[in-house]
Amino acid sequence: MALDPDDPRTPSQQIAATLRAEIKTGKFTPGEKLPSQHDLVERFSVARETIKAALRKLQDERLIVTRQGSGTFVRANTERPVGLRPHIERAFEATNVTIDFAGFSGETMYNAIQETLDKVRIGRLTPESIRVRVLISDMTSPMAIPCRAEDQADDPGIRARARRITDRSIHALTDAVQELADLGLVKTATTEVRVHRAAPLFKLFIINEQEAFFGFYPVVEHTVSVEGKPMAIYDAMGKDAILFPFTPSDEDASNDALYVEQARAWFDSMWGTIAREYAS
Amino acid sequence: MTAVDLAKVIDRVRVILLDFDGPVCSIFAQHSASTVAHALRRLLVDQAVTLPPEILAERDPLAVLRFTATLRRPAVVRLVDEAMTREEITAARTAEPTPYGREVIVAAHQTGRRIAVVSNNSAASVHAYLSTRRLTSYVHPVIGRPEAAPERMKPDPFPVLAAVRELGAEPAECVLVGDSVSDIEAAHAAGVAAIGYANKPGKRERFAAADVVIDSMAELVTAFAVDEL
Repeated sequence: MALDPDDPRTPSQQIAATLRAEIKTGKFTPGEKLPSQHDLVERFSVARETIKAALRKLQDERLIVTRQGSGTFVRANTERPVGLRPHIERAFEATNVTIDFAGFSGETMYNAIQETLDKVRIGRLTPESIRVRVLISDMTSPMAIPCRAEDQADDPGIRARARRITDRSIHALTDAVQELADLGLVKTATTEVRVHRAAPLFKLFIINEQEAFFGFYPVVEHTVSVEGKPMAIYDAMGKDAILFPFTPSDEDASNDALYVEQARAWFDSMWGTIAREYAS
Repeated sequence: MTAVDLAKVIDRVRVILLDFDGPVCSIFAQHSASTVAHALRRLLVDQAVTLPPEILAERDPLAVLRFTATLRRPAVVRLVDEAMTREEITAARTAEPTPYGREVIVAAHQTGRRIAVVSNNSAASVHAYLSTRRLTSYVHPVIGRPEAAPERMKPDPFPVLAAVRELGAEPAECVLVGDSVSDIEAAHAAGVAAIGYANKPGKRERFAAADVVIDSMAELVTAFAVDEL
């Protein structure tokens, strides 16, 4: 693509404008890798310095992030739900993969990681070790949510239902991770699950100790089946939650880096103190 | 009457009109209806109204109010209606939720249906109950007893039509759930289907005109085909 010689803007401004439009219109999606500088040099027929200047502009606008050795990526946009999958998939390019999840049931966790594990199974991704830690609410204990909506009281039947949902996703996750070690595709693969007695209010992912994603669980009312009978309950709803990304890039010592650091400290503190082994 | 009949009725409607006392709660569970009826009678006697024997024995305050309308004394009607409203608001505080009444409201909302209340009780008392039970956001509109016009209460179709109009709906896409014959008459007079809620023995037989009769509100939740059930 040739630049317009009559355009009053500099070549780097024109290139930045073109890439900006492509990001905003979704041609490049959040988390996606941009073409290499070499490819951009060819595409726009300009010097590498011009491409670098254009990318710097987009970086200043927080539209992209550069990671040393792996390239330039479209920054995950905080204005809409972020696909976690591309981030998890990229994390699996590392030798040692760690995923920490804190939340309600682990259902979203399993859904987000499933496809990436499949890619390890077919040899497309080849980490040496995988360590998954899951920190969830203990549904054997009464807590503020989930509860009966009518009188906001605890109900063992509601918790039993929540436990069934949790058990399902935890088992599926544990099995899928273990299978990779059993097949000899990775040297070590572990899934550890711990529970605590705080009500589920948010979900947090920490990926390779470098990136964090946070989403609120609003409390919603819905009618579900509890012991075969309809019951209106107040529940934590994570399905539509926007995940806020905290993805520090190499060049900024921003809030994102601080957030990830504090998120890790919080997770480890919970893990090492009030969390207990999950008995399924 | 089978679950299939109920499913057929529910399938073609987008709007659920609920009678209040019965399908949603038992408003006079603690604050008894007969005490309220007695209080209204005393007001009438104070106004020098002679009460016929059937009104002297009446336990339903709404029947006393309906009788008041026959006196052709608007000021007395207003007085009794206002006293009734005050009693209802007090009663709403201690009303007992109908089993699965909440589940019906929440499940209807969950499945994209609209819910309105059409009651012969005052709108203020319905609002008081919904607010206490954190149900206000699910229900719109609340059509209560026409102010100082007891003759327009159900079985008159007026309140049902008011709800249908407020929702911008067609009568054919609505169904009214009620526990008395007057609900079924009002619904049909408005061109709206009617589900009889037989919450007491013997009611089922009286609901011959209803499109379908249920014994438990839970049947409605099932008919809504909620994913999470």
